[in-house]
Amino acid sequence: MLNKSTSFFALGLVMGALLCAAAFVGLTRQERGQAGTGNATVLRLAHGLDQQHPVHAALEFFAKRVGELSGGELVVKVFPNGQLGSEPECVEQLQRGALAMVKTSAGPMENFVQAMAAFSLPYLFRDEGHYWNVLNGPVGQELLASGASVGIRGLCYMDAGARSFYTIGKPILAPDDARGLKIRTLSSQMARDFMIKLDAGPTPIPWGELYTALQQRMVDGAENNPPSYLSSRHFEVAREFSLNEHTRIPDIIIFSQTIWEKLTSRQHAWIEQAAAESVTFQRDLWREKTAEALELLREAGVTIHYPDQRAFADATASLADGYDGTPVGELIRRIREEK
Amino acid sequence: MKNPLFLRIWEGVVRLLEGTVVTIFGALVFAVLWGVVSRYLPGIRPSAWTEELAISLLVWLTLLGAALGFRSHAHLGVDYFVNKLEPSASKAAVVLGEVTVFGFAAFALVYGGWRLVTETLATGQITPVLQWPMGWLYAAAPISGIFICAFCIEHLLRPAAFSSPASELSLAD
Repeated sequence: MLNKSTSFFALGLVMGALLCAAAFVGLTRQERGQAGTGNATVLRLAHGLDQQHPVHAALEFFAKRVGELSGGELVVKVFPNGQLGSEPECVEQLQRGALAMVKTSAGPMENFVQAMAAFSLPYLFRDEGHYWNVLNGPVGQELLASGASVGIRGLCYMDAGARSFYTIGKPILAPDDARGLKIRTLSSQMARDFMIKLDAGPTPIPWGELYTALQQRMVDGAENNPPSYLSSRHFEVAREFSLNEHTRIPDIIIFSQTIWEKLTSRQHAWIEQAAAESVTFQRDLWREKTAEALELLREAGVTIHYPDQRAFADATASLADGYDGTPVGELIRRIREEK
Repeated sequence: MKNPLFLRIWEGVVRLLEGTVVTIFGALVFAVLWGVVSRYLPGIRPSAWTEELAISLLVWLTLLGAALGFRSHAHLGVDYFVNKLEPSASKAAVVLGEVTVFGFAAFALVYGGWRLVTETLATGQITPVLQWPMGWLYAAAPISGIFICAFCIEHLLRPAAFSSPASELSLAD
């Protein structure tokens, strides 16, 4: 055992080191706060997709355009692959002003902005033309603005295509074919109600665990857009793809309200212009990638079916009735009235 | 602590916390088990709420359990160097440790957690399936922090009641 004075000396050293470390952290934080005002403003953008995804390419394009338009005054840093957390976690950080921008699906957004639930209704849009008319029209713009009170400012929509069923063994060619099948479902009430309407068993499974779940036949099928079906390699197990295109849930880029208010109107204009340009860029890229994905799937031996979408729409038409008289129901009515 | 009534009430609160943790653990086992079984039982829809409930329960189990573990000195600690010190110095080291933990729990868990809860409640975020307000799920952090702070005070006021590194040392001597 050490003697008394050596003991207290050692203890004092440890305490001193601890206090120095704390003071150092405090000082560097203060310095960083001062440095941020003079030079370029860094805006961080997080999303959960991989770098091969067309949406990521569009976000990189957006970042490049913001840099060019602002002459380096604004710098957008893109963090892909869910590096900063899952989409809902990133939205929470954005609400607190810890993140400037997040790309998220409009699906999980319904837990932050209730009106967004309207997008999850099956066959809400008649076709792609109707879809874009709504998103670029007054209803779409109103929805982008609807999160302002909870710190979320919608910037623009990006195409996330239409979701369709893929199954193991038996293809889903008519609404009746889904009866009794266990289908992996998104974690939203509307998605669940849709499966129940078809008499299928909605099974919530995280996207990353779905490949194994299909392999073990824990579920008989799932649903997604063609590029995701391809990139997840689920087609290796579930080889029947029925393009019934039941939902078109757009991706949405949101901006933190608190950070937005700190920027100047000139900077706002640059960001909005870059966003508008990247939307056009992404739409073309998405169309190209979807066609390419279907081609690759066909080559890989996947059977692609084109079932009658009308039959699915009719079988699930009553889903909208549950929202009658609510704000979501009102939105659904207005979206359907749009041309 | 001269007041035995106060002490009895406090012991009761700790018992209650222990009971809560045991109940949460039981519910967690049930939720996960039912989640798996419901996928395979014929005639039943796979359960949607079990995953979300399990996540919420695990958060509460971890944070409340961490507080209880702190009370009984169950957390990992390097006591090699502390035991090498002269007894009065090692007692001082233990007190410093308690103060540091108190500071962290008060700042990060109670203050930070409280901000997290109020800010999340203000945004009205809800969980996808159970539709619970997300803010209440986060309430586990400040509650755990309050208990850790209270246990710090208890460690300092009644060191004899716990086998802290310092009391072990004095026994060995």
